[in-house]
Amino acid sequence: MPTQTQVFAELAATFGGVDPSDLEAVQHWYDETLPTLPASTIEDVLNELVKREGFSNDDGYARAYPDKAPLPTLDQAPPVPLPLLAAGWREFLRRLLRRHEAGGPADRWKVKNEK
Amino acid sequence: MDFRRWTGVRFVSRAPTRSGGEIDLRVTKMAPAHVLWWQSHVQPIIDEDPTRVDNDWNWVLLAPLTRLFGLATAKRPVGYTVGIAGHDTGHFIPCALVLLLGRDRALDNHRKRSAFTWYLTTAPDAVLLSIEDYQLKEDRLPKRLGTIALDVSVTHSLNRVARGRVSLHSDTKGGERLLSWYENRGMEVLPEGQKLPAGPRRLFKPSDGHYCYYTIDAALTASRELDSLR
Repeated sequence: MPTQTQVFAELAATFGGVDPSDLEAVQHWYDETLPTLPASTIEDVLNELVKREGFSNDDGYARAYPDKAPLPTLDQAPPVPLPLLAAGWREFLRRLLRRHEAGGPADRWKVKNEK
Repeated sequence: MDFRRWTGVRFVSRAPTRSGGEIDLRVTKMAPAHVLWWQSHVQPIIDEDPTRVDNDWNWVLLAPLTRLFGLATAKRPVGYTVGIAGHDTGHFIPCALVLLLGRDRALDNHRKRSAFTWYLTTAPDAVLLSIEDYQLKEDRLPKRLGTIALDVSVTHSLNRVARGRVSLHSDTKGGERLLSWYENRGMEVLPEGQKLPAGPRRLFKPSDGHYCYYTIDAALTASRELDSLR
């Protein structure tokens, strides 16, 4: 049975003409090129991947338990930093400018000036 | 005024315990060390219970596959681990895993963005009580782990571009009981047959009355409920 990596590489070769032995090119194709292709092509790739990998909840997965995996340490679990603003400055400004959609100050100003 | 939509929201950092106290938690990005420990110590116990919907999940496979699917469809996949912060021993004990897509289409309004929780699991009590390197007493067991894991998705959504919107598919194996659990946490259920956003999900998992979603208001309410634990 082909490994996951082989399947991914074969699909990149089939759909993207990428050299399947060049794993860096394969990774680049999945990361950069595939998202820019038409939705139908992406669906075809995923469909094929699902078919070959048996990626389905109904079938379950092969049970495999790694031996003796040590308990992680706190060093291996850094807390996720709190972002200063939800979604960053760009989204902050976008939300601020969109407030009129929810009847915010911009909307009230518009109504006041239309009277 | 609630500034939650404008400022970042902290992840939960404590969980209530059975004794009425609290235990320190940490939410971190999912790392291979967490997945390997989970698959070797937690999943075997979960697999002994055929009634659990996460029975037979293979996290060693799920984590990279979700990443690949998410990257291929530009949906910003991300994994989080919720764990007990054992400050006394320096250990981190994973007790919930969440895999989600950070940028998906909302179920109730396909033009809006939402996070999509793909996989969510919590550790059974039996596992947490039988860790060789970390002795946890029964009265120190964290409660509300499922709610906290779901809150991870909401917090991620609030802190990114989806404003708290979260959607997920309640596994049909969990039946009405699991669906009700999500409803009790404020989620809406997408009526069976209602059109899903364009994408592979339409092919693989059609609208079967088990898709749930948080509206912005419901997500904010759910988020506020856990503020005392942040």
